[in-house]
Amino acid sequence: MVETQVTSHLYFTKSAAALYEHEGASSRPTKLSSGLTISESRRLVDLVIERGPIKDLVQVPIPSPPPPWFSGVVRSLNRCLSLPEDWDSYGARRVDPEIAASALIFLLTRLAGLIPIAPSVCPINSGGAQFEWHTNGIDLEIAFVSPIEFEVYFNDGKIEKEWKQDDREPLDRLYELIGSLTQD
Amino acid sequence: MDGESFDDTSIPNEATLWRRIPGDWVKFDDNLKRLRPQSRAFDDSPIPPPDGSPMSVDLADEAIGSGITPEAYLAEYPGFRLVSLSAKLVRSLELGIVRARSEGNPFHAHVQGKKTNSIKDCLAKSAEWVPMPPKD
Repeated sequence: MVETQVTSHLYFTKSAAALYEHEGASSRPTKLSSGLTISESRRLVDLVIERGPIKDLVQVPIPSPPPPWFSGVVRSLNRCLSLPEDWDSYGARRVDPEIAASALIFLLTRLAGLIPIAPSVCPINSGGAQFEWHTNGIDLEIAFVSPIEFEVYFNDGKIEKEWKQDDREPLDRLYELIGSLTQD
Repeated sequence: MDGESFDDTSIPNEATLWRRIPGDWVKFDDNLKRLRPQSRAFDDSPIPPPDGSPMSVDLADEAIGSGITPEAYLAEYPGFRLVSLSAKLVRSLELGIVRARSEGNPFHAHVQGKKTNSIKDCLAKSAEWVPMPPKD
C-alpha cells in the first residue's frame, strides 16, 4: 500500500495585500522595560493551520500594518512544512504545523514591533522551526522545539548566552538581546 | 560510558568527517560574508532510542581510500551539499567519534556528546564546503 504524504500549510484568511492596507487603526506605542518600543496597533486576523483535510483556525492579533518581512516568513515556514519525511537524509521528521504556527504567532504577537530585519527560517530535524539573524556582528537564534517552548542562542563575540523557556514566561532577556541587532 | 565507547582513538585527529547538508540548511551569513550551513544541521538524530543515534558523519579518508569521490557520495542526494569537519575540531568541543558501520555504509560514524547551541554554532562556522566538480 502506498502511503500518501499529508500536506500541511499555514495561511491567513486575508491576503497579504489586504493586510498592508491601512484600516485607520491608531498606533499606541508601548515602551518596554528594556527601553524598546513595540507598536500596539493590531488587528485580529484568522490564521488557518491546515494538516491534510483538517483545518484549525486561530485568531492572531497581528501588527497593522504587518512588518515588511511578514510575507517572506510565512512563505519560508510553508517551505519548511512542505519537506518530506527524512528531508535531511538522516531521519528528520516533518515539520509540525502546530509548532510552525506557534512560532509564527510568537513572532507576530511578541516580537514584530521590535524586529526590523527579516529572520532566516530553517527547519529543525525533530519537527520544529528556527528563526535566526546573523548581522551586525551578532548571532541570534530562536528555535521552536515544541508549540510552547523555545530555545534562544545569542553570541555577539563578547557575550554568549543560551537558554530554553516557555513562551508564557517574561521575555525581558530576549527583548534586550533583540535590541542589539540594530544598535551601533 | 567508558572513554573508548565515547571516542574511538583509532580515528586520528587528522581524520576528516563528511556530513550531508540539504539546501534548506544553507544560508548566507552577513557577519561572515559567506554561505554556511545553519547550526541546526548539526543536531543529533531525532529518532528516539533504542534506534536513535547521535549525529551521523562518514569517515572521508576511508571513503576516498575506497575510491568514493565526494561527487559519488552525493549522487543519490540531489540538492544536497557536502561539508567536512576535522576530527580534531570535533574533539576540541568535547565530543567523541565512534564507528557505526552499517551494511550499506562501512564509513559511517557517530559524533557523540551533548551538542549545545554554542557547539552547533561552532560546528556550523567551522565546517568547510567540499568542492564539487562543475556540472556539464
